[in-house]
Amino acid sequence: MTLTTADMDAIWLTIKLASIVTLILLMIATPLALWLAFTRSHLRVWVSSFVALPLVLPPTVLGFYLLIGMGPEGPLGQLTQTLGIGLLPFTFAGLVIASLFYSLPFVVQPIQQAFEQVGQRPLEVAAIMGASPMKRFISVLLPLSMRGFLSAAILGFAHTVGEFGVILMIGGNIPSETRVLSIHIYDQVEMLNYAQAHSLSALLLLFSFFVLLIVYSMQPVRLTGGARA
Amino acid sequence: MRLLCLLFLCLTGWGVNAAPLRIAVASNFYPTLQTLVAEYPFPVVLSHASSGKLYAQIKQGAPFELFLSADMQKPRKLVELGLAEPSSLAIYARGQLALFAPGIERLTSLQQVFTAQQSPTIAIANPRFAPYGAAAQSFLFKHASKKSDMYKLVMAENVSQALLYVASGNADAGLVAYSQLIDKTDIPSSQFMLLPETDYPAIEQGIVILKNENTEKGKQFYRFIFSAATQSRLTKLGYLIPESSP
Repeated sequence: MTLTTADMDAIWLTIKLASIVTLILLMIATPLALWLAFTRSHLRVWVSSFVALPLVLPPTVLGFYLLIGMGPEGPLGQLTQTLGIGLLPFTFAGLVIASLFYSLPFVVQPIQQAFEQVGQRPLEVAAIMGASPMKRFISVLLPLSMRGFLSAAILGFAHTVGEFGVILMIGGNIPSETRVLSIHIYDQVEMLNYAQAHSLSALLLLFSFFVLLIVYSMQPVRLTGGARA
Repeated sequence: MRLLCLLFLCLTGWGVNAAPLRIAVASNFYPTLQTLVAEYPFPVVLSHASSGKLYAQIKQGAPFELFLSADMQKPRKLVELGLAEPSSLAIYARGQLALFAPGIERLTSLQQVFTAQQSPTIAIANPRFAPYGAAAQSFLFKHASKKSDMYKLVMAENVSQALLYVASGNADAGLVAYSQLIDKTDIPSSQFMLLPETDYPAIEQGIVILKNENTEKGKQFYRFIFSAATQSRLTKLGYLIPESSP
């Protein structure tokens, strides 16, 4: 199996995208999961449903709305144009924004479940012992939820690597900018380069399997849902 | 019970007699074929996808009687594989390239796109596998520049997506199929222009009859495609017709 420069470009771009998205998502998802795990607000079900949307929506729907929403007439597009960034479709930044939506539940849910498993009790005990909210979070909740964070990071990364439909809609297939591995494989199939498609697909298959193997061997964090790429 | 048996016989009997003709058609020709099929007296089922996907499916034994590809390469390959009738391989239509730029008033040349905006975003279908994309790319190379500093090139999966990129405002202009624009009531004719066919390699779309037990039905539809009436309709739907028909 020989990898061409185009293959390597696509692989590197995919790793870059998935890493950036995972890092940003961990930062967004942690406060969100904390709120979802412990709030008694009526808004909880609304936010949970919104977060879980990418699990059930076809990527074409998400991609289509992102294309329109980030376009010159869309709310996101008008915002980015006002800020002087320009339009996001067909750019790497656009892929990052799209992937944040797309992989959100895969990061929020494991962290939220980990927080829920820890529960209120250890936090209350820490509070009685005089720990500040920040201290309780860092010294009690975080260490007890480490597995959840690890699952979230791995799943967020892997799910972004497997992203296809959304990127097909908003990417524009630009080498080293938006042509990620899944798109590159698709191109190879369309060009009837089955041998090349085969080796890259096998690579992705092995990667995905080992990712899941790692996640499932880290039980007891239960995984919910499962979406198509 | 007897009634149920009768019903069963009716249903299965009907199924055998009226088994529809199954056609695999390239996405870019699908809307046109839908229009044509409306005039065809027998039941027809159309399956559309990119020519590459349909080729792969036919190779794996997909049950189609006819294949209308977006190029000549894939039908020819099917003939070489012994899956299609060699004598049936022919060009059924030639695609025409159009420039679509809704932001420009009275579009008459590609240069207007470059004067209206610095480094415009131009959408084309992927030239590596879409025939319209390959034609579009060679047109751009000829009339603009091979270097992408003059424009930002974005590649769509097919011409429909290239059109979506322009229609949603994300791309300033697109090189798409004339057949997509010619019958659209919501796109005024001042926003697009037909490009001269001498400026890009011909987009020759090939048809083959696939070998299976239902070949006769396929042949019937094949004759319908090459009938004078259908071929003249094709010219009104945005295509050029082959100089000689089989």
